[in-house]
Amino acid sequence: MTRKILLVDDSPVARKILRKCIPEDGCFEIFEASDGLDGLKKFEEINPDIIFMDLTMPVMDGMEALGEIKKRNKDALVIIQTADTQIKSVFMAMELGAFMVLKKPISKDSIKAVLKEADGALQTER
Amino acid sequence: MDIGTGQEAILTGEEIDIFQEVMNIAFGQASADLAEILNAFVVLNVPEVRMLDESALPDLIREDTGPGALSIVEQSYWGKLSGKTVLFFPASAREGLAKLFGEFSREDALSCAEKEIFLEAGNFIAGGCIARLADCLDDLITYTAPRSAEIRERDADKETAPALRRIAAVRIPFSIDQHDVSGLLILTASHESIPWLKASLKRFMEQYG
Amino acid sequence: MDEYYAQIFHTIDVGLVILDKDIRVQQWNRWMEQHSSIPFHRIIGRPLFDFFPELNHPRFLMNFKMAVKFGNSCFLSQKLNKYLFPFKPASAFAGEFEHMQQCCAMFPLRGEENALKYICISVNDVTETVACETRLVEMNVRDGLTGIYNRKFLEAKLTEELDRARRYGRAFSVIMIDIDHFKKVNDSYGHGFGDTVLKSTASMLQSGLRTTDFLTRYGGEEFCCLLPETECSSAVIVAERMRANAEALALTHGENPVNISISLGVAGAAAADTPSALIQMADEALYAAKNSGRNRVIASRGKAA
Repeated sequence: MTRKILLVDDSPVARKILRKCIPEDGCFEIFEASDGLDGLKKFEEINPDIIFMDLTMPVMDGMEALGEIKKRNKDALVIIQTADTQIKSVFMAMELGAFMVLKKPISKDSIKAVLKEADGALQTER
Repeated sequence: MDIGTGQEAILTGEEIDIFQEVMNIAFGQASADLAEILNAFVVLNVPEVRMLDESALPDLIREDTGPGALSIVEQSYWGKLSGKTVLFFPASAREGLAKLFGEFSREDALSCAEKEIFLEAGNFIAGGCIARLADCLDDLITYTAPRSAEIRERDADKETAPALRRIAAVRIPFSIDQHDVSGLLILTASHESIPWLKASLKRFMEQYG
Repeated sequence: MDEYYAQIFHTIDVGLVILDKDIRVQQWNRWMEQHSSIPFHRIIGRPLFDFFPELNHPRFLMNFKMAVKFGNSCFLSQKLNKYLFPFKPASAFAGEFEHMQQCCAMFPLRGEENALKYICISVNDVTETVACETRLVEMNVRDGLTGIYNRKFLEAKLTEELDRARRYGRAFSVIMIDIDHFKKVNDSYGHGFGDTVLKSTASMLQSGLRTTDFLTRYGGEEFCCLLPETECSSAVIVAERMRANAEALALTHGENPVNISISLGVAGAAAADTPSALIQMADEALYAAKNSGRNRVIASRGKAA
């Protein structure tokens, strides 16, 4: 089955990189949002299986958007993407219910591994 | 290669976007490392990249720095990428930095050593950012010692107008939680290093196929 | 060139230490041997902290980590750190320094593939420069006759202290002091004795102050004292003590005892908006003390007129 992935990042380059790292095997349908608020709107519209969320964004930052998404659906699978891996940020994201915190820069391999893990979690959930 | 003319000396819109993301990654890592070293929560905000003429730099700086006393710390760096970093601290950051950087007595922190506190703190913050940027772009960079500077007036009426020298300027507001420290970092990539920067941004994207 | 580099390393008039990432000493040049009296063969391969436990300190570690983690150079200025290695001053012009004043840098050394291998520390002896500078600065802010701070210093310091008091909501007070009937002293005993009175009064006033307070010569026979972190009511107590001490000052001119007294005006920063307003308030209080018979302390009761 096809999984819907929502990429929330203000940087078009970061979204492009992420797109390139997600396998093009027809298993994934990709949607994009350019800030936290836009992400929240798209989340409600398309009900994605997996969300990749940047932390520092204008309008609404990733931490706030994560909290809002979790309020709407506590089972939503949100992967936080950030280069800033200060314990305080990571701790806060996990506390808010992030599935994991992924350290930037990403690579094809790291995204493949993350998607596999996310898939496993989605399977057991059903 | 003639870098004085032509498009090779200017970042395109797409390249600016890539540079911005590279900065994002570099400064994210830098804040994590600085946080560990300083044992404090460091926030480096979203960097903003602009292409501008070298002579317009003082204007950019003035734009960001409202009224009030400021301490300015300048450092030059050079590797394949070269340029300078300019850091601004409001006078009010002094006590917080003093505590953060070394548990000086209040008297020491507040008297003669004021300038030095800004210099050392500036070296940590700007140096950390540059080091991680160099890592991301696979460069190796050395720096001059920090020195305090003043905002220079634009030499508007120089007899012979110099050829336009486009540089890339990145502004990053930052703050250090619980220490009441905030400031602004401006990093510039020199006109001479823009062609190398363009090539290395291209390499950065190519690694993702 | 390598053989020459080694010669330079040992000949240069700068201390050079090379450390590995575990802070063990890998190189130790002659300069370091000479000033530390620790020979090369004893310290090589050993942890630096075994010899200099005082360096095992957050500031040193922070800079070392910075150099290792970012591959950055760090600069340890003399002004902030005074010194890194606790050496005896080598220069005859060391002034009053107990330790050699040092300006140090810490920078990475890279090996193959640019991998960071070692951290180098350079140590410059800046004792003489600092001693000179200190003397110059002192000359510029001191009153030649009494040795206490001058008016120029007062003006700078007053603005600074008032700013700080305001910013952090802290107390701050000033005392204006004037020697009573000083003109009469000068006229009766001559200017030479007048100078003696000024000097004695200044050192008496200074002896009752904390190291954080500043005593300045405001002009003529007038002094101004800045008391950071001090409420006006506490400043009045300090002023009262000064008044009593002046009265007890046993001065003699030849065989004859000479008694002096001082009048004092006190003002707290809470009621003043500007440095000049604060001085004016203290001055008005001093004027009131003079008018009500001298040899007394009066505290300003608020806004400057």
